[in-house]
Amino acid sequence: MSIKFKHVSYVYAPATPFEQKGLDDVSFELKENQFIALIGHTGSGKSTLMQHFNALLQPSSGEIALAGHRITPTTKQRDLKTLRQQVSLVFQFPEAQLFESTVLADIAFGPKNFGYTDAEAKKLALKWLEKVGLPKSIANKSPFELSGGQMRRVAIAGVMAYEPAILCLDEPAAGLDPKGRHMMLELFKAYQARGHTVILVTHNMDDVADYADDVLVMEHGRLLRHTTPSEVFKDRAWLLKHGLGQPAASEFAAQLAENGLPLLPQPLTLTALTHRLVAHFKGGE
Amino acid sequence: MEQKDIIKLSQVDFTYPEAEQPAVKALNLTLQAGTWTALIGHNGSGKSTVSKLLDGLLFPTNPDSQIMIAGLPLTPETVWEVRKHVGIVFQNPDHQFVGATVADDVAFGLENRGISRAEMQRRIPAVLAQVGMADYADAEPSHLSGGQKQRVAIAGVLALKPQIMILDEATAMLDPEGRKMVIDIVRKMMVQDHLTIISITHDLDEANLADQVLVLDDGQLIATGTPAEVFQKAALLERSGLALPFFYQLKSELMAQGINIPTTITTETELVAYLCQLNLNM
Repeated sequence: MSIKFKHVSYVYAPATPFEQKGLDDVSFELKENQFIALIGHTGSGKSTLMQHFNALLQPSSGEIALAGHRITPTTKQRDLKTLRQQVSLVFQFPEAQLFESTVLADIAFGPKNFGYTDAEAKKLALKWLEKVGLPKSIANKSPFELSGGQMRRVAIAGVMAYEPAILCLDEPAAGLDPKGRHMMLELFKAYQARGHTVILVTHNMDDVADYADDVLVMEHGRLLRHTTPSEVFKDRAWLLKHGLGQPAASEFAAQLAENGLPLLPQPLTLTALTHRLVAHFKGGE
Repeated sequence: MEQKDIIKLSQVDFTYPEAEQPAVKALNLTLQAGTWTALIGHNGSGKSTVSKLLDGLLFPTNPDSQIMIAGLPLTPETVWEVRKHVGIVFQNPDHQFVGATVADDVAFGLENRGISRAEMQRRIPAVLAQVGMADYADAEPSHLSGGQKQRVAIAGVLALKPQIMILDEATAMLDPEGRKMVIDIVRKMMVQDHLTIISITHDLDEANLADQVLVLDDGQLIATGTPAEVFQKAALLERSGLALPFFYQLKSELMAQGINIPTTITTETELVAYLCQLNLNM
């Protein structure tokens, strides 16, 4: 099964002076169980698109098919509860949504909400507390006593604990230190590898290069491109024109090329860049 | 003229109520006016506590601790005076807006200080022009992009004419373009207004552009120096949950695989030139 958007448009505040197009005739098909990056500069429609994945917003026109559901402008919200269990959104600063009295209760809230018993939910909560890299000793602390980075992990554990088939995350690693960021992305990659779809909204092109199978590029509410990281990062001029960057390794390779040392194919990651340079200078051609 | 120490911390300790461990321990620190300092450290290392101590949102818990800001000892009595010299820009611009328009928002801080209307009318357009947002004076803040919002937040701080600006993860939520623009503007202000910048950041490539880098771990400074000095300590940084900026990662990877890079090469541009020269000599 796949995730299919067919001519999806979304209009904010229709028939008012504030009417604004959020999505404009967006069509694409994603394979399930892949790691998808959703990029585009601020205001490009990334968040609007993301909110369509679990029907927080319903299309003004067009149709969406995913996780066994069909979403149209007239789909009733009450038919969407199982969709919400299968498709979860994690917004920016999810730590702002913590509310329970203990860390464990906060993580267990999601699973309980979707019908797990107290005991099952508690077990899942403990499992995910550890999976997101937090010590068991904080389970009975108030989430509000934790550092910002720890609160972020608690919030994300609360969503992953009911194992949605499709997990959409908006800049989940912003504000985390390099080690925490790396750990978080590895966690999502492992989650995807175990048979889930991960959709990551990000400004970090290195993360796109390191993790994504597929990339969706948004601009002005339209889908500009749907392709692979190696394709999207090929054309530097195109990226600049659309306010997007390149991964650090590609940027460096572009500077080398400008100064007479082209490396092909274009490296996207530090490892690839090092390999190509070593092969170039140490022979092996 | 003012190459003086604008911030001086001696033996600063801070422990949160009911915490077992101090968040900041025996911190000694001197920052010169008109310089850019990057404060890095893993989540929970005490960076934000330090920024709150600098602005008098928190006070040291050790009576022997001393904090001097712009020549004033920072105490509960002097805090309002000291805050006139310190501006902070936070991570999430949406948490900082109060005005209905961009100009109103910048005016808010000035009103709080009891600045006259005539003076406000002079300062607001001037600071909005400085951050490249003059055309947006009447726009609604909610309609701006993240980078534009942060530039307005910076204008709000600049309007108060502080001597010190603290950027607390102020670029973390911005796209690459917005991030670069904010950094460029702040750098320009630093030179033009002799502003002292303290940037709390996880972006090590950004830290690499600072005059001075401070590394905090468990509330203690574990390394200080120029970026080149600090980023040589790869093992120490890694133990502390940090990584190296891209340039240093690449350099050490190449060295490890037998491509010798002279120690005189300390920037990406120099490395590009060196590798291209090496290529020509092949």
